[in-house]
Amino acid sequence: MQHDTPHSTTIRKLVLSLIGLFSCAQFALGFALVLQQAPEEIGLHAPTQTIAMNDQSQQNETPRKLAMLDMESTQ
Amino acid sequence: MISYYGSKYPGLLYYISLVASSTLYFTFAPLQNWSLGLLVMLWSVYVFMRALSMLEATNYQAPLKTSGRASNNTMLLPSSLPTDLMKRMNGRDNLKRADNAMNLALGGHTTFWLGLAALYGACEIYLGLHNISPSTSTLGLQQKIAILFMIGAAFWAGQSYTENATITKIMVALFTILLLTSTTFAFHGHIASLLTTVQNPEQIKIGLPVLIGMPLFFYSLTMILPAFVKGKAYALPALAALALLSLMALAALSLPHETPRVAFWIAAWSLFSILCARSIRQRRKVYRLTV
Repeated sequence: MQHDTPHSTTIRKLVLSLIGLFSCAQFALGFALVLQQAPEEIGLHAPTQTIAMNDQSQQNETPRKLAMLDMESTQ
Repeated sequence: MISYYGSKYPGLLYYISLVASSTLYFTFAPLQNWSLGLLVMLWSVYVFMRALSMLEATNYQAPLKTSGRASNNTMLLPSSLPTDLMKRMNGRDNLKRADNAMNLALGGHTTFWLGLAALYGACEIYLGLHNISPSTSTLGLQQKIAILFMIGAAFWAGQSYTENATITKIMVALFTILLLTSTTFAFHGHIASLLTTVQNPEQIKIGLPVLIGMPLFFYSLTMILPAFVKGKAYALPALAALALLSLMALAALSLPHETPRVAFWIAAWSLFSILCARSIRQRRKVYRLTV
């Protein structure tokens, strides 16, 4: 059984603080690893897909808008 | 929060489930960055909380020892006298357990082992950065650091729960099952190379990663050797730890760097930490009649 002296308590606190700090760094590393993965592989939709879909919808809408403008002009 | 005031062995279930999930993940699942990152985040949260709970005990154990009655539970809301007394007594018992856990987890042996492991990790990172060793490993640098952290955390935290004999037995049984599972998958397809290693030890080529891991291996060996002269209760766990170290040496020399091997390391070091702690220190209740 170890005897607790102020010196050993200080060393313990120091070691525990180091371990705590190291675990914080590892948390950051883990977070970085999660972010590295491509979103499609996790199952999320990539922003590029959304943009592409928006473009498509805009493309579909453009002839309709032109047709409506034509109708207004003829009236 | 994991606190020593409310729990006998804070974070024990969390620790066991982390070791089990890590071993099973590396054995069966394909290695992906996001899942590995998630696992490392869980491990780091556990290590942080465990360190915090030990720090809590370090702060409050000194006044408890001197005064013999005070407890930080005085700060809690007022309750009936018997409940309050029970709370204080439980809190004090838990803090005594914390003291023992700290002696195991922050003793000289473990601290030196952690220092050597950090040195090994630094060497491994240096080799990886400068491409000095032509390694067959497919793991990236960040993945390597994450895996080394998990192994170190499993070793460090495992020792702190070995005070109780029943919990130790349960952990040994669980980790042995995990080790057998991971060993089966790690050695699958490599039996021929293993047999060659055993039959022709002169043909073993010791690479640089094995060489830098040698101080850690031999220090682990010296940790358990004194137990053989301490008596049967100490020698039995030491014998099991010695067998485990031999298996680890075989794995290091003959297995390729693949993810089942990582599972093997996690399970093996977790089991070794418990056996090693039992071969170094055991607490028994001694009842004495005093006048």
